[in-house]
Amino acid sequence: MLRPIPDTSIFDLRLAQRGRRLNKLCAALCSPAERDAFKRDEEAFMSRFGLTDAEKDLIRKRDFQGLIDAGTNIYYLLKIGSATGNGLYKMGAQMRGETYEQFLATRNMRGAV
Amino acid sequence: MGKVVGGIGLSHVPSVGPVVDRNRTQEPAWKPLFDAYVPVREWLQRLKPHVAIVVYNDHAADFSFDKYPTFALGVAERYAIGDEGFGTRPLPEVPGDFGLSAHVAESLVYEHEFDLTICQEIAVEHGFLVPMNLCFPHAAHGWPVRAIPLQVNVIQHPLPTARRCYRLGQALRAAVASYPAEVRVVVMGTGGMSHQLQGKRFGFMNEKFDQWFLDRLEAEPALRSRSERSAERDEEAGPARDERDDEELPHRGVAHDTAEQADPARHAGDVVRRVLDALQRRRGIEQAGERQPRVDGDGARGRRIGRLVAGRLHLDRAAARGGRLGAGRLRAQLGDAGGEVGGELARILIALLRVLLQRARDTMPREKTSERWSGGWPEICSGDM
Repeated sequence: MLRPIPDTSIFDLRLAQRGRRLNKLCAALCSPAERDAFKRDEEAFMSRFGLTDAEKDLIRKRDFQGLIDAGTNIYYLLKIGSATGNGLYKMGAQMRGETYEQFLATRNMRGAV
Repeated sequence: MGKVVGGIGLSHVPSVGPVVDRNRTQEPAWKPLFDAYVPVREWLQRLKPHVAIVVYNDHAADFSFDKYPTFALGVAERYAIGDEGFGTRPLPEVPGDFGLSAHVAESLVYEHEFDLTICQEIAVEHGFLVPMNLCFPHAAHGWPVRAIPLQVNVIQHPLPTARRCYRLGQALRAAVASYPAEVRVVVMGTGGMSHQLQGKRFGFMNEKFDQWFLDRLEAEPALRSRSERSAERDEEAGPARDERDDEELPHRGVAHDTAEQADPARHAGDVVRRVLDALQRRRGIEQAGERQPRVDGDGARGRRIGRLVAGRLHLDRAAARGGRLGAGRLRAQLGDAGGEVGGELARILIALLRVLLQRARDTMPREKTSERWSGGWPEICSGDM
């Protein structure tokens, strides 16, 4: 029913099921207190949400494409990005295999950040 | 009466929010975007709307996958500013319009059979707030319009189809029009054009495709099905094609509710209801209900009229197969029939149409085009009336 699109996954219920723990963790980051808790002790925070070791490792390594592949929805991923100082463009540059500066150089308006 | 005075389809680039909050709108990188909305705001000032209905999608700020509604309508006096994970923007809370919200909810659920999630609280986020920032700038004390959020799932498949969203727009227009109080409404449909947010093609956009899509949206608002689109087009657009299609289309449906239906048979109930309404307005008949038993008792006459109506509808259906059937055309035909013979025929037609409408309601599959229904008119019209 859903046709593949180059270089991306399509977030359907199977991916949502796979990413359930990760997305719940991300959803919690919409609260300032939870963001503080995450920044204070990432390991304890991840354990609270029952992440597998593999999932924890993806967060430890800030492996954004890995997190997407593990079922993190892009709009949830933004919350982890924000909590770790990685805005959308920084995460995107990593997914493209570029530096932030290299990515910005591909944009029409480099100051539009 | 309520009136939709304008419809706007626009983007909701999230970084617009902080740019507004930090007064950066005149910086060279941002000025072109904000300048483009100056004529939009001037137009809106002339329209003097009271309420903005904002058809948008939440980005996991206030809705989560624990329970994720396909369509969610705000029914509240006011809406808080949400925290998307980056903090709460320094904006005044947004005033709602409870009366209009409640009416729209009842109309969409009862009349148009949209199974909404009804929300007494929604914390609104950039999908809602960026269009408000661009079109209805706030002052320290508040916003220049009341607003109603209508949230559509475009982030977790299965998404509502583009056709369904188009019909939501049509229903929204009808709902506003049937509101008994004077209210001027602008409907905003918001979503992105092509953009890919993950993978090696992060940042991909295709202006040529976007222009093609906008042209089609304008020229063929009544939609082609997903299967009719070419696979290459989808690939060119990137995954955000879904946001574009499904978020913007409600606004198109609002703008084009008189457009001819792509599939007349699916809208049989709506057509019959419109005919009924038109006849009642035209003839000013108020006691059709009292006449119902007498008309029902006159079997021979009823059958004769039934055949007349069935014949006309067959003709229309044939026309629809060749081209398109407009509800307005059918309404005019039946209205003319009533005019030729006089009020009594109109009364009988109304009685018959009540039966037809009930049967259409009872038997019509609302959501899929089935082979069974494609031959449905004779079934309805040649019964034992």
